[in-house]
Amino acid sequence: MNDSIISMITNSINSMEKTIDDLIYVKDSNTKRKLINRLKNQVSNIKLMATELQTLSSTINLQMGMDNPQRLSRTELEKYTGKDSMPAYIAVDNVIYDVSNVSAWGGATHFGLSAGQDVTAQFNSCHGGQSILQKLPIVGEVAND
Amino acid sequence: MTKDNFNCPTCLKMENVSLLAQKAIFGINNKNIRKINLVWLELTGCSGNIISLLNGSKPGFKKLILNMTNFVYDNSLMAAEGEAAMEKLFNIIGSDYILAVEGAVSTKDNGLYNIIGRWKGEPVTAYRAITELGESASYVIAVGTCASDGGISAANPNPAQCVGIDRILQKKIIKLPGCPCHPDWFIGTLAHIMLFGEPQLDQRNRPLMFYSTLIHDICPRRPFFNNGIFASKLGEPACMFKIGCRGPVTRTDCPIRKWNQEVNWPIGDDTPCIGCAMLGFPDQMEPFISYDTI
Repeated sequence: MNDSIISMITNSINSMEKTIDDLIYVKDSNTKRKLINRLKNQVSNIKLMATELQTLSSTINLQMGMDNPQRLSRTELEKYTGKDSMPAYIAVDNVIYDVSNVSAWGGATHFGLSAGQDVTAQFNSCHGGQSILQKLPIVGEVAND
Repeated sequence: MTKDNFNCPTCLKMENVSLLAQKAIFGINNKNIRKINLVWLELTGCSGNIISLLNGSKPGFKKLILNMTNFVYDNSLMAAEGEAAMEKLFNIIGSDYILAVEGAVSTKDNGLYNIIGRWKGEPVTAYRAITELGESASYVIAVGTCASDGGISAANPNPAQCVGIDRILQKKIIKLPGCPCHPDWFIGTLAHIMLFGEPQLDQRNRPLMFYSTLIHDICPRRPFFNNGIFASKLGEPACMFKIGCRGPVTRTDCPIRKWNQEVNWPIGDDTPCIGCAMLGFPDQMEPFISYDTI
């Protein structure tokens, strides 16, 4: 999706360069006005595509939790218990999620489970097949110790 | 219900219990339906549910036992005692009756950890009572969390090997979990059975009219959660999610029905919901409060 928008922006910029070249040599005021209008349209299109790109990028960042996803070992993950000002992280299928503000994780605990743990087995036994994980912010992935 | 909220479906739910009970009593008075025999069996528990029922007001307990039901047996409240009481209990088998059960079933050593009385010279275990009375009842209602799922009686390490009554009986149990069960939940369910039969239940056999909504979704402190304003200790008038509130995983209508005849409810009194009506209470709802998470 990102690649196709970037490709469209590149094409638009190439078209704009061509329009600018035409503008340099044109003498007729009527033609000049048309070219300037075309240029304005091309700028407007680029602005739209840039906005779209920005939205997509924020969505991805939101899902990833940050610009650079973290890689935490299981030992490091154990520090993210939601206590003493640490955020509450859990891991499911090697993906780390931030449950600090997930309502079902009151007090950084959930049905006897505590944050800072790999809860893959428990998740699959209770919520397998559900789309719960798609709503959780991702912060990174589990690295081997 | 006021002029301002008469269209609110949540507020309308508040009216259902007294309306159902009134209809049931009206039906009995007009001989359209008959008074049902009600047996209240206390097993392995704290008797908290019968105490809670005494606090009911839609209708009150007196009206419940005089105008709605033939209150056949409850060991805490009946006049008869000893063998005479047990005689009443076992003689109901074969008649049409609704069995309300509070407390879990102690199963260790064939139930010997809870003897509820003696009959014909023999000790009667809670295990035997629920097995014999449960199988022949027209409806069985598990009143409270212990009867529904084991609850506190089955909490770790569970020395008496307690279980919910659904693990003993091979029939459908209507579950009214809560520690204790709200009197409205029981009276509403009973009146519904008398008028229309079994109420609509969810997948855990809880009546939808009382257990359909997450506390979190109708909590008056929800705006605090949405705006990230959290209490760090008890007594702060904000969302208690960070200190371990179980409202987001518990389905009851406590925020609107409230307790002690609509006086208040836990969150209204600055203490978090501890999920007492949830499967897994108390072990899986612990810790009930955490102070180092904000």
